[in-house]
Amino acid sequence: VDYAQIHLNFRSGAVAHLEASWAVPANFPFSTSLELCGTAGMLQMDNSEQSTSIEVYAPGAPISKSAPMEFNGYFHEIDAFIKAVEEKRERAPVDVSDVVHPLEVALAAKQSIRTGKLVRLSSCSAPSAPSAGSADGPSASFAGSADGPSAPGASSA
Amino acid sequence: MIKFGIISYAHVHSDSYAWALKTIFDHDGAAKLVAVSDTEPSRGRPRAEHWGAQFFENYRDMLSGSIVDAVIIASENVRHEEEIAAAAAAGIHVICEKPVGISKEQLQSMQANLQKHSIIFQTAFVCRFSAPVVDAKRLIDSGSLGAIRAISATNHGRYPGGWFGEPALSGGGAVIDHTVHAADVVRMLTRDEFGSVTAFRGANLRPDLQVEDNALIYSRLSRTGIPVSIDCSWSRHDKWPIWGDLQLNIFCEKGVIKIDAFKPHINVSSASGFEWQSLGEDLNVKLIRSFCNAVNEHRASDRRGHGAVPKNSYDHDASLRANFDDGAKAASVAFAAYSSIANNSAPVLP
Repeated sequence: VDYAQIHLNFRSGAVAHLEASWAVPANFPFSTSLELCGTAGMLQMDNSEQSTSIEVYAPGAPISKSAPMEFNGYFHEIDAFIKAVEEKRERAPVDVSDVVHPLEVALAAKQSIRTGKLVRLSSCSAPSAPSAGSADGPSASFAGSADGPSAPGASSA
Repeated sequence: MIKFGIISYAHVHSDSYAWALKTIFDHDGAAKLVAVSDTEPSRGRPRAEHWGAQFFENYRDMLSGSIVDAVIIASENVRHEEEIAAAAAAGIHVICEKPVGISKEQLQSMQANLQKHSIIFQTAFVCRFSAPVVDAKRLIDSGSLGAIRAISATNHGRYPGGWFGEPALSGGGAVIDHTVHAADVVRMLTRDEFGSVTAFRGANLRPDLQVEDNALIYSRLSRTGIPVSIDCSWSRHDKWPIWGDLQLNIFCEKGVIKIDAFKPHINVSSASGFEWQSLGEDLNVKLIRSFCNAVNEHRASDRRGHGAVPKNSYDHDASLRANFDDGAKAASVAFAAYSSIANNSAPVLP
């Protein structure tokens, strides 16, 4: 599967649409974007379109557009890890439990692509009646996929 | 020249049509706004006076006595059927706001009725005329990117307010209001129809609203099997700088097309707030011009004694013109989405 649309239902009653794609040519920029809509406002981020702060044009060279930062995510990741070790913290900034749940979602999406059905996550209980709550994980996922150019026939119909 | 009437100022777009008609009239006199009707005179009469048009409280009076050749119906969704029937019976051509109807039954009786009359009927799918959409259509039709493999689309918006939140008048919320634009553009670009529709309603962003304001819709097209997602949500808050968007990511065998139909825009800041104003020719002007071409061809054809005009045969933009069937097909996707939501997100055929 090189392209998938994944739907998530949350216990809070919120819904989410995820799109995962390799089905782009090599010159397509690596991009992640996110939009969150809430009762009091909306937040958007898009690393490919909105954040360019320096552009360089030179004869014979490809156009360069970037958004350099004093400290990027890799720096902060290592910095936080070092601090956790130095301060002998009990929990790393991103520990195993932060990895397990997203993986569970991804595996549920694969299962949903296979079966064409919603998958209820085992870590989430009885979500069909939406209840108010915070920090909910996704309760079910629904996924569709397309066979793309690089993996013909890899996905379910 | 084609004489236009506008039925109702209920819709947020009514005055945009008046503006577009004035623009066309000033340019070459091909169309003119001559009359406005509104059940609420305090709303419609001042606008009619502003544009130098005759005002009617009852639209039926406007449809009699050769006052208008064509009408633009911009009333509450539930009223379209009756107004279209009256216009068709009077031989008056119609541009109708979307959705054309609010139920399958309504669409069926509208279709049966329209078949009895020889008028031009156009659904107001303005997004078809958006330059990037037209460009994408050309690119797809050229075959250079190969077949389409998947589409994700959004038609986000602010909550339009008023009767759009009253189901008895609107037929529903964001799903019926916005699914139709995206579904129509997908149909136009793929020349395919929606297969079974699976829809999920999210908890409302505006908890006090009677209708849904966000939902996600998934389908596969019936002939090609292309997976399509549509986000139809009114997820923009009141201060968002533009009413909404139309975005499509079209994944093809040999490339990707990303469309943001309301770009480019200019930033306009004033005491009343901050706005993005789209550049390029006004889409309503293009829509009305396309309609005028069809009406003029219909007149010429009548003079030649050939009767009704088939779609897609004359002017260069005829393939962009959405007829009744296009309006009905797109609305049916929204109806299927409502059925799916009501049936615990089970797939429903439109």
